[in-house]
Amino acid sequence: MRLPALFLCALIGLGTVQAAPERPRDMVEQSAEVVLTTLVKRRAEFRADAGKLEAFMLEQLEQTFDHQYSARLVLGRHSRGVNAETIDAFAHALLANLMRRYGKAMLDFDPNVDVKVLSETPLRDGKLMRVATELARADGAPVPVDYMVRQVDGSWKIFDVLVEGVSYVQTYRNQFEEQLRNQTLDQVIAGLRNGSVNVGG
Amino acid sequence: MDPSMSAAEVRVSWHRERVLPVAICALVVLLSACSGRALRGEGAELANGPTTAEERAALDPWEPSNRRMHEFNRRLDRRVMKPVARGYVKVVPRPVRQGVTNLFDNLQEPIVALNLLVQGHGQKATESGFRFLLNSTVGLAGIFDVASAGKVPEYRADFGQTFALWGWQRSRYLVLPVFGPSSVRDGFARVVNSQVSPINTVGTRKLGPGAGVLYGITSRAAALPNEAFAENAADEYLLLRDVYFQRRGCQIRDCSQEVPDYELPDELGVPASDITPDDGP
Repeated sequence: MRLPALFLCALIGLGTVQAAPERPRDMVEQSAEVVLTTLVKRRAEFRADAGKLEAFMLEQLEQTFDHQYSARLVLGRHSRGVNAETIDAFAHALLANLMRRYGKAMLDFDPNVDVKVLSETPLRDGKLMRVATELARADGAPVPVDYMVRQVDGSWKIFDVLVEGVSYVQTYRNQFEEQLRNQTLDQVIAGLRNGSVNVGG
Repeated sequence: MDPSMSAAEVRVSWHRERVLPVAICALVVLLSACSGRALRGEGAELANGPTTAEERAALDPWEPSNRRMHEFNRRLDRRVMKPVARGYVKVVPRPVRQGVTNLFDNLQEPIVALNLLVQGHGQKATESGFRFLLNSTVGLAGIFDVASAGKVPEYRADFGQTFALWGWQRSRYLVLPVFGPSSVRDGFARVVNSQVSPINTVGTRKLGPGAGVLYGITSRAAALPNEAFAENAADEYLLLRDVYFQRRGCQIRDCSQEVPDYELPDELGVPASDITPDDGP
């Protein structure tokens, strides 16, 4: 399983709760369950039609992923002074790029995994929360997957995923840092859209 | 060594017994780390605790030579390792490949148990030892992973982690030939591992270098699904270094209660009105 695909999978897993529960750990537990069963149930359908898979992923992400905040963190200091619309354009261009390239890999994800919430830790005076989970697999050692969440208008929203300690935000921030040295943010967004800029990781 | 052997025979024998297996083992196993087998949590040796990009860069004083080694590894992988691994996946049926992987995993299990033990995880070490007993007997020398089927948990532990716990926390980044991202500590740990791991002592020495080659091929094959990982990265070397440090850091210390190294918008002076999520896409 590729790292970007795992990032995607974890992000989408979080987005599947209809009514956001009070506690982040409940959100993680319930949503992971929903996304895994959906991927199994609709696997054939998704495999035949990438558009449907993409729509499903977007729908899930919209519910609990904090695009704006996450994108600001990915851009780091380059987000200073940038208006919300541009951040939003960047956030969506990045997600679409990831989905186009790694979406299908999600279908290879072994559904026989068990998500176990290990701990939730309030950080920065309770403004942020880190939910530590473990993906237990039928074959192989468990994979630690942690979620960084923050409270927005009363519900918890995810803004980063860490797979085996590797942060989605940090990994992409370091990559865009390189690109933004030679290009403007608008050029990077355009590149993400037309595929001339791709992100590994 | 048999004293009746001619010098040439001695040389050949020595070559067979020591150099080849070690070299091949190294060649084979390390690829896993550089090509993302990391994700499966197997075989990869990562480590250290630098948490910011600056600290990571400071731990790479040998960047020029590391970059050259990275390029060498890439070329070697493209020309040799990857094609061979692809062929292996194509030719050998999945159940057989799984059996081979299980066999090597089982051979490494005593080392995992040993490291868990000296790291102070008595319970996990016991479970790991039990896995080894179960798989070595009922699992027919480890070909079948009956322990996992029986829900005996699997853990990962290596000498690099142990050395870090013993105080060797920060170690310079070092790209190893064939094996890729590592550090002085983890490279040293790899040498120790190669001397005591049954993969070498039992597998390679008894069965010949073929076992080492096979181990390498299985490791590389396991990483095949991850190969798009670093594709198109703005700077692949930096990406791999970054991922190495992040991942290894969390294998050495418990980072489940830390805030990752973010530049938070409020710390950058971005007004809260600018970071409120809008209505979505």
